[in-house]
Amino acid sequence: MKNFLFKISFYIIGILAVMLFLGTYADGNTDDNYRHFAVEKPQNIILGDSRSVQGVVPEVLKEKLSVPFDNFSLNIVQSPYGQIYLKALKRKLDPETQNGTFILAVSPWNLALNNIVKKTEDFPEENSPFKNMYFYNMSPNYEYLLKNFDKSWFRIYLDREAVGRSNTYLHKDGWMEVNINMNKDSVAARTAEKTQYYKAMLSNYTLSKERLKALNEMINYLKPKGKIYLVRIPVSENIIALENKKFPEFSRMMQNLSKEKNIKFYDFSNRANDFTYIDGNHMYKESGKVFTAQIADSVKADQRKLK
Amino acid sequence: MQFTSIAFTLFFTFVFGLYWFICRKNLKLQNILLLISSYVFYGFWDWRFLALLAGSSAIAYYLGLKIGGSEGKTKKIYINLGLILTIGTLFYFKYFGFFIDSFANLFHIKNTLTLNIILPLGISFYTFRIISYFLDLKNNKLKPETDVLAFFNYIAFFPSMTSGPIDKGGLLLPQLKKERVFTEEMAADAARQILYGAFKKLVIANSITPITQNIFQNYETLSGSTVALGAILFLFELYADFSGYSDMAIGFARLLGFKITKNFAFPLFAQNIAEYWRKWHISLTSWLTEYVFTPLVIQFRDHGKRGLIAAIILNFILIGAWHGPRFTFIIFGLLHGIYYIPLIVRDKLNKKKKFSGSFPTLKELGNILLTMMIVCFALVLFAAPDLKAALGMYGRIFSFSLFSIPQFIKIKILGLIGILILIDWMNKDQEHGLDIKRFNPWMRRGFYVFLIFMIMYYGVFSNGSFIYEQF
Repeated sequence: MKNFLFKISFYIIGILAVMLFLGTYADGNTDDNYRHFAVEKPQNIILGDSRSVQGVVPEVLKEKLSVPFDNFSLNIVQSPYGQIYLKALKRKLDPETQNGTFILAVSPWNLALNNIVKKTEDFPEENSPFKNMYFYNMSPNYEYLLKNFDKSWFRIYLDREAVGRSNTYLHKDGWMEVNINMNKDSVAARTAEKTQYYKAMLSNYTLSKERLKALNEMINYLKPKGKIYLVRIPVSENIIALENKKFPEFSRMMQNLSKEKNIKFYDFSNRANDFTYIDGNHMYKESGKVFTAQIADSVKADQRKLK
Repeated sequence: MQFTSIAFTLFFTFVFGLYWFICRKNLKLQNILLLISSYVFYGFWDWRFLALLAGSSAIAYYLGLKIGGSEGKTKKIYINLGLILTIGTLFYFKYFGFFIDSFANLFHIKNTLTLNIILPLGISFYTFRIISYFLDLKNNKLKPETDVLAFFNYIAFFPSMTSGPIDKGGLLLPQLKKERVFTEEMAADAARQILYGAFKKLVIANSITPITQNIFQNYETLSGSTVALGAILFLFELYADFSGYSDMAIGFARLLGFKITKNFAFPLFAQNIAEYWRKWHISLTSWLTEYVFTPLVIQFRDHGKRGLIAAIILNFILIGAWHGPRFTFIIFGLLHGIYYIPLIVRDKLNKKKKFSGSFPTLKELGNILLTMMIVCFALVLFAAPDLKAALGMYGRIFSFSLFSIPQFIKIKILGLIGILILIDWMNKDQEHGLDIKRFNPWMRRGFYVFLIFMIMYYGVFSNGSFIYEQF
C-alpha cells in the first residue's frame, strides 16, 4: 500500500505542480470572467450585464469621482438580477463599505425571464460562476480555474496577456475591452444579427417578479452602504425600438422604483444616436468612455447637491 | 458527482483512505462505509430517488428471504412478485410515459398524466441487478442473500451504479462477504485503467461531442458526406465515452478490492457483427444472453435456423428497447438482429476470428471496416432524437452530396482517434487498453506522463456527463 501511494504521489504532485505553475499566468486573457474573481474587494461597484461590462469604464469613473470602481457585470445569462447575483454581491463587496457609489445598470433583459422557466433551479444563472464561487478576491484564483475554466490549463499560459491581449480583454477593474473590426459593413452585419436575435427573444421573455424582487433586495442591501444610481444604458435605435415595443412601461417602472427607494434613475435609452455600437447592443469602447463620463458627471452633480 | 470531477476525486480519496486505513480489519465496517458512500454518491445526483433505491433493495432483500424459506408454488409466487415489482418499477419510470403519450397521440387525447415522471439515474442498471438476483434464485444459481449489508451494497455499489457494468449477484455478492486484499500490482493496474478511461472520456469523447452535436442538429443543411462523417465520429465518441466510463468504474472498484464485470473488449477491431456484440457492452449482452436469448433458443429449438434468427432478433429488439422508449432504439435493435442473419445462414455465428499477425491483413482490415460501417449505419438511429430525424439523416447520407468533401474534418480529432486506435491495438490481447505491465518500467512511466499530458493539454472538462447515464 505504502509503495503504491508513494509512487502515485509523484504523479499527483507533478500534476498539481504543473497546474499551480500554469495558474499563476491567469490574467485578463484567461476568459471573460476570471478577473472578476481575482481582485481586491471593492467599495464602489457597477452591476449589470454585458452592456455595462463593456459600456461602463471604471477608469473614467475613478478619474472623475476620485474613487476606484469595480465593474462586476457579466452578461444576461450569468448576471441577471436575482438571488444568485445578490449572494455574489455580498461576497464581492468590501464588508467595510460605508460611503460607496453603486451603479446598477438596468434593462428589461436583466430583469426578465424566459417563459419556459418555471422553477428557480432552471434559471439560467444556475450555471453562472456566481453560483459555485466562494472566493472573490484570490489571485491566482485556483477555485475559479478548477470550477469554471473548462479549457486546457496550458491555454492560460499560451494565451497570456504578455503574448498579446485577446479581443475580449478583461481589465483588473472589471471592464471588458472589446477589440473588433469596426468597419461599417461588419458593424451592420453584426447589428442585423443581434436585432434578429432580440426579435426572436421578444415573444419568449416577460419581466420577472423574482428578478424585480431581487433588485429591490439588492437596493435594500446597498442603501445603508452608500449611494445607488440606476442607469439604463443606450442601445441602437433598432434594438431600443424592439425593447420599447415589448416593454413600453420599463423606464417608468424604474422611475417609480427610484422614487420609492429614494435613489436616482438615469435613463439614457432615448440617446441611441449619441453613441457608437459594435453590434447595436454593446457600446464601442470609445463611446463607452464618453458615456461613462456622462454618468460620472450626473453622479458628481448629485453628490454635490447633497453636500 | 462525475468520475472526472474534482468533487469525485476528493470523495473517492476520502472513502479510499477510510476504507483501507481505518476500516481495513473489519469487514462489516468496510461494508457499512461502502454503503454510506454509495448512498452519498447517489444522493449527490438526486437525493429524491434515494428512497426508491433503498425501497427497491429492501423489498428485493425481503422477498429473497421469503423465496429461501419457501418451496413449490409459494416460492414461485414470491419470485414472480419480485420480478413483477422490479420490472413494474422500471416500466413505470422508463416506459409508462412513452405508452401513455403514444396512446394519447393516437386517439388525440390531451395528456397530463406523465408530465411529472422523472427517470431516476441508473434505474436500468440497478433494476437489472435485482432482476438477475430473482432469476438466479429461480434457476437455483444463487442462494438467498441473508447478509443485509452485502445485499444493499450489491444493488447500490457506487463505482458501477449509474452506468454499469451490470454485475450479477453471483460475481459481486461473494466478494462483498469476504475480506478484501490490497495488492500493489492490482492497485497500479487499476490506476492505469482509470487513467486510460479518463483519457478516452476527456480527450476523445469530449472533443468529438460538439462536432457530432452540430452535425446531428443541423443535418438538414449539411452534405451527405458530413452526416456520414457524423455517424462515424459518433461511433468513436460513444465508444470512448462508454468504455472510458466503464474503465474508470472497473478501476475504482478494483482500488476497493473488487473485480467487476468487464464491459468492453476492443470492439473497434471486431471482424463481424457477432464478434462486435461479444466485445461491446458485454455486461448487458451477457445478461440478456443468459436470461433472454438462451431460454428463447431452447424455446425455439425445433425451428432450426429460423428459430435462432427469431431468438436473436427478439434479443436485439430488447437490447434496443433497454436504451429507452423510442422507436429508433427498437429499430436499432432490429437492424442489429438482421445483421446476424448472414452469419446464421452461413453457420459462422460462433466462429472466433483471431488476427494472424501484429498488423491486420487486408482481408481482416476489410472485415473490420465492413463491420464498423454497418455499426455506424445503425448508430444514426441511436443518435437521432426520433424516427423522422433518423430518416432525414439517412436521406442526406444517400444523396449525391455523399460524394462531396465533408465539413468538420479536423486534423486534431483524426490524430486523437489515431492515438486511441493505436493504444487499443497494442493492447488488444490484454485485459484493458492500458494493461502495459509487460513493458519495462521506464516505458510505462513514459506512457503515463504522455497520457497525463494529453489529458491536461487536450482534455475538455466542460462536459462531465456520460452518454449512458441517461439510460
